[in-house]
Amino acid sequence: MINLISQIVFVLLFIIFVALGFYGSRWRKGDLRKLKEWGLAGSRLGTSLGWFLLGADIYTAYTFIAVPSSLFAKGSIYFFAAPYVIITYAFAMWAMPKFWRIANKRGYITVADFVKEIFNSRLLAISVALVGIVAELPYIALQIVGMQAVLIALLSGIGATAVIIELSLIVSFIILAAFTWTSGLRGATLGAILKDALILVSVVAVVVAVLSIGGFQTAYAKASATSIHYFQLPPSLYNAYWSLFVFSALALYLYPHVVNGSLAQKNPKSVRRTASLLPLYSIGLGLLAMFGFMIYGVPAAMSYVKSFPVSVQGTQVVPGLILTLLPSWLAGAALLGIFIGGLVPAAIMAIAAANLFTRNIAREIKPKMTPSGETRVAQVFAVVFKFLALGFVFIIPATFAIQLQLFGGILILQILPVFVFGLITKNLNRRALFLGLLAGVVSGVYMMLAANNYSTWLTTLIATGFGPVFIGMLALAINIIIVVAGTLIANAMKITNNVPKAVLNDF
Amino acid sequence: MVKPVHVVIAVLLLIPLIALLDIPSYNSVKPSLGGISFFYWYQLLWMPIAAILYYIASVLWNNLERDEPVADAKQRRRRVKRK
Repeated sequence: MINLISQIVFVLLFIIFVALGFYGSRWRKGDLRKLKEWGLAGSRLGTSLGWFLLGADIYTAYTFIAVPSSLFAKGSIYFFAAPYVIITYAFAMWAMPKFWRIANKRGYITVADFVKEIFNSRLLAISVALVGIVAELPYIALQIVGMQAVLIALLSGIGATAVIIELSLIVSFIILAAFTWTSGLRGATLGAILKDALILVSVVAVVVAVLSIGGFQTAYAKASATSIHYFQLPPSLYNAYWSLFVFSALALYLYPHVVNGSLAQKNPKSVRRTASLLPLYSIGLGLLAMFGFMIYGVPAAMSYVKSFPVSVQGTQVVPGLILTLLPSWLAGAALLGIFIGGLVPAAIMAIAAANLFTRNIAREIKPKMTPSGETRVAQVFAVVFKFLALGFVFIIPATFAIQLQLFGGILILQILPVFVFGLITKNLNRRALFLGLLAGVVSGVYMMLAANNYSTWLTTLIATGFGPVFIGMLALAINIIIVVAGTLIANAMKITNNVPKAVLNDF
Repeated sequence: MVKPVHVVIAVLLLIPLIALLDIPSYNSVKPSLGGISFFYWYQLLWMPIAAILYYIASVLWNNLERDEPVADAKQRRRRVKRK
């Protein structure tokens, strides 16, 4: 179990990581007072660094804590995350280079910038920015849950469990806020490399350890005896499975922080090449997800997990396997990797939300801001958003933290018509787009509340005639129907968006 | 104009999606591998396969775009700026 060596290694590596973060603010020096430098690393990353940055964006506490946790609690349905992180890159290879070129030509750094011009609508741009910001909050909350899970493991055995759980949450939050303020996107990228190395080594080490004790056979025997479907999918969940993975895949590259990560690369070809290779990263996600049933093969890890309240049990699956199977020093390093795996993405997400707020909301209210004034607004709101995110931590039991990301997905999917259809055609009516977005968000939130009986959020699936399906898909369908119908009506009435000729000529 | 290479790119990108949408084809415990059910290792196997297919698609696609005058001019201008 946890011991002094693991704790010392954790702290030492954390100090190295913080030092890297500060070095990052000087690395490939740019003027950090400028928003583009603090928030987009100056758009100078090549394929390899871009790969690491996007990896940090995408492989987060979601991968390290939330997916294994939900697989442990609910079974094979949550392996949908594996096909999700394969096919999302096919979508990215098409959409992101296209958007990069348009953004570069017209000087956009957010999706809302693009929406404002192409549909000639401030209202639509502000709405897209707001949805983007709100969608990031539960995703940030998930990262905080991940960091908390690591600290719980690190401090386990020191005192009363309830106190440790609360303390871990507070400490995670303070570290996150301090980190984002100081280093911006550059520091985060360097940290991401350290994190990836630590986690890769420990995942492989755990899998090898489980294999060597014949843990998979034991796990199969023991997990099969439970009432949870661990090893294959009940046919009633087929529609849930594909709707979760297809619509999570479409949602990922709509998130402001992922769009940022793509724009931070130096050219559209490297954006595409980076995306094409990211499925390799997914192997780590797949293996980690399997920790959710592997734990049945390691009795010591299982009894560690069972020593916690049910509401946090799932989050202790990965830390539990690491603590019981790896040598102390490696366990300490692995826990740090997971901790940074929550910290860095949370910082990146808060930065992206703050960028959006500054450019597309604050600037609309107060158009004349100095560049350093803009960066200051962004830094302050990055902290504010983290506080708001904290609110989500309390809605959902940590074991079901994956629902935070899925709820963010339901929201962010609603900008798909404006963004993705906007990349294909300019001929959509702006009022129809706005109404569609509004209807999508409202119906999505409503279905979420209804599916959970207006109480604690445990699911993002809703029962239909075709079995349970992902709410995000249904809300998006409502959204798209309104956009298409509204545009047809507007065309029939000859209402246009009045987009200036100069803008149209550039597309 | 749709060229044959466009079709090839589209097919490369769609193969993993179609394979993974066919859930009944892989929803089974056997044949298991080292105690891991088919459901898991089959989907894991698609990760490296997809990376290979996507990478080939990205090379084909990026080559196509070299001929775009706009992108080319942009890059040249950037290169000059950096010097």
